[in-house]
Amino acid sequence: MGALLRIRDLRIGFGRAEALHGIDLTVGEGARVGIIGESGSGKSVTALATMGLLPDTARVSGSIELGGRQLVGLSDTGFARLRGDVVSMIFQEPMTALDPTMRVGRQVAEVLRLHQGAPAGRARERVIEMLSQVGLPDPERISMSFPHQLSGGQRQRALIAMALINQPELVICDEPTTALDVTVQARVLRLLDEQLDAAGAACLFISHDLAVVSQVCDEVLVMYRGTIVESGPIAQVLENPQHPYTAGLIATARIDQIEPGRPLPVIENFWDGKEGRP
Amino acid sequence: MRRSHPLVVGAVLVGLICILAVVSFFWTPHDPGLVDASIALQPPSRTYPLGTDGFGQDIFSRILVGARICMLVGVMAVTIGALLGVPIGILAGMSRRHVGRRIMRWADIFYAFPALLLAILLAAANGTGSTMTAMIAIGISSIPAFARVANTASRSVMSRDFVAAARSSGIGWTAIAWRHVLPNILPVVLVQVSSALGRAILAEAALSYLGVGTQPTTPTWGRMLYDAQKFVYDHPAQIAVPAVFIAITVLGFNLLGDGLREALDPRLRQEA
Amino acid sequence: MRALGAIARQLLSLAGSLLIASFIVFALINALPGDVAATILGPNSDPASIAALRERMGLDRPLLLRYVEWLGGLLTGQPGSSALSGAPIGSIIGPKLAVTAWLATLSMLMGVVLAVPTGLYSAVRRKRADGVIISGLTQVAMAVPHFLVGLVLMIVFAVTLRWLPANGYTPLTSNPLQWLRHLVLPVAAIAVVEAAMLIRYVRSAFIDVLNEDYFRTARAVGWRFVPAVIRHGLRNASLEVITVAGLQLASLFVGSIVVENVFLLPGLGSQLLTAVNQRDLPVVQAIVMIFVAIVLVINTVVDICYHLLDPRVRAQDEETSS
Repeated sequence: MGALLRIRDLRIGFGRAEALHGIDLTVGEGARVGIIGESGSGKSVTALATMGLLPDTARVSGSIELGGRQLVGLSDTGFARLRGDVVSMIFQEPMTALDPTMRVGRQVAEVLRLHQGAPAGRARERVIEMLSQVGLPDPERISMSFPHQLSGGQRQRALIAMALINQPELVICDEPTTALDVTVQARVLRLLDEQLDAAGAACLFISHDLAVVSQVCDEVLVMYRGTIVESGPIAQVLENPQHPYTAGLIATARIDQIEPGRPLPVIENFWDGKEGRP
Repeated sequence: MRRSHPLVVGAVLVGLICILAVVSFFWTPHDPGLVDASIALQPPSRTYPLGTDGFGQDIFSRILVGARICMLVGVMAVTIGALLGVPIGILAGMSRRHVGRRIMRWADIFYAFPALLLAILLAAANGTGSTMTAMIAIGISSIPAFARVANTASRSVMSRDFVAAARSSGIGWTAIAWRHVLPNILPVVLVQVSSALGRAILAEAALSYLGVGTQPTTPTWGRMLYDAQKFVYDHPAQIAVPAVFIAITVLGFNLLGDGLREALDPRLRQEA
Repeated sequence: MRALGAIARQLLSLAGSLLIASFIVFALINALPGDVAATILGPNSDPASIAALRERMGLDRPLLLRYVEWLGGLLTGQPGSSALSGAPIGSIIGPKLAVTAWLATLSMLMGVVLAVPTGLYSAVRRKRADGVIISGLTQVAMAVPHFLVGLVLMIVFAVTLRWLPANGYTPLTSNPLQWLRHLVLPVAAIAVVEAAMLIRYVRSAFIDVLNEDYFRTARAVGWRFVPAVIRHGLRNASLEVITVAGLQLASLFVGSIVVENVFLLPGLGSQLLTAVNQRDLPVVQAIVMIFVAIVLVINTVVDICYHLLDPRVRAQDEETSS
């Protein structure tokens, strides 16, 4: 299995501050890699850099290779050709991520026609097929609906359909279920899991929730303040964390192991933020 | 501190014009109404700091006195607009949604009467325009804007918890309006006051220019422009002085409004 | 079908507003203290001629009856006759209406053409020097009255450079080139100020849209920046801008009253001022009513456009009507 996405010494700065201090990561073809970390740790910036969607005030150095193409320094036109076709992204906020003035079916069809130039009739068929594939009931009606007529879960399914309709090689998911109800979360995650398998797509899955990442991913990276503090197969990292920050993350996530009457564990119980910094 | 630039610049400009208006009550270099054809259209000099106009009147003295009318009409008009518009808006904002919508629809009728049109109508009905008709017309035409701002703001205040708490403890509607709604919408109303002042002064200038507002013997900046226009071929610089003063005043109020808005809205501050 | 119902309701409410507004116009002229005939003839008129004019204008009849007659006349395009010349008002203002309509529509067109790209550009570059400079310039342009811009343009292009006529008008049908030459400066005077205001709204609407999640989605599925703005930005931003633009078009008709007087264009605005100075109240009343009607009609058209463009508002209509 070759490497699909290879990031080397990626540094990203805004103004005087540096948000990412030189990270390395590799995603193999069809592999599922999770990135875990608190907000501000640099996980979303990494994703946006891979998509070429950073604001133009960002300074990027290092290397991002996707299927052998160098992405750092690529023009917006070059990126646009890849986005939605070779690499696509699913965002956190399904409620606001669809254009409120356009019917859902047309928004999905746009993605198809943008990259494949399919004729309208054929595109429509494929859109309906895709909408039913992501588990939307009555796809004909959904495709004629406006976003405000759908629930959050339905909208996220529509967005997953948009992300997968061109069978991309890499799908970046940025907290795709955080904004959803817990019951809907589980269903959307299972769907995502199935669809990624069916498409054979690799996935970079960003979350602050260990449980969610362990459901979808095989490997995990732990980020803290712009660096990767730990990485490895998910089972190994969960069972035997090497870095105290990871240990803290795991302990704070395991609410079932908390003894009644004792204070809740916090990261600082495990790590003062200095020891073991790479 | 960089953020508050518009506020500071606006306040300085407005303050400057206010000072001119106040000074004019105590001192002007010359009698602003003194006509002397022998010294007409003089360039700026030691005796006439901004020169003289086509009637030989001292431009600087007329600018000073003109600031009075400009401020008077602006302030009175906005007072009329706010005193009538804000209560309508609060009433609509505190009513049930569909009742509120109906009240606002009635207030919107005033949109059909822009300041200029209403002033012309009043001037026609009265025979001639006056400072009074200008104030009333500009004031009435600014009612819907105040009503709209007050309506939106008070509706959002009404949905807050402290209002629910006040209502459940049996406090009457008028008391809620006075104690909770009004103090909370005051900041937005203040922003509206500032931008309404800018618009009122533009309207006043247009009315005096057309001769349907304050009548010609009283110096106004708009009328000074009208008089200067006659000499546009030979002395185009004549229009510069009143033009600059109108622009400074309106700019001052607009900046003040923008600055206040930014100071009151943290989201905007980030964006700017 | 429900959209049609909503439009019908808007039109009905327009009719109501027109009725109320016409009553206000009529009442302000006729019911304010002060006799109409005495006002028309001025302070130095003798009682006999006042009585004669009252007789001729039928002012002794009940107010309400006169209102209904006037309303009927408005609807049939014949709202009375001039108190001075006795000429039918329709024939006085008919030709003037075209001048004002050209002035207003061309100014609006030019304003929008200037404002949309500039507003978008300054939204995209809001943190760069040129974006900030555009913002500053619009702030200054907004502080300048139409007629002042008109005077400055006149000084530069008509007086100093002598490229264009300073005033006057030629009808389109008699000489299109002259027509255009006469309209360029007045149109530019109005358009510059309107564009300045519009730029600020377009800018803030686009800043909102560029920060929206759906815009990021559009970029993420492969739209380049400009096409993404056109397909997913324009429509959403236009929802915010269209209301403002509509109100502006209305204010621009009224603003044309002043600019017509600067450039001596024989439009409705000049006619209105002349009528005010001649105290020709029936003409004033009719022209003011035309302006009021234009403002109200524009507002209704804006409301209807808003409904057609925003599916969420459409949905609200459906809820309230069912």
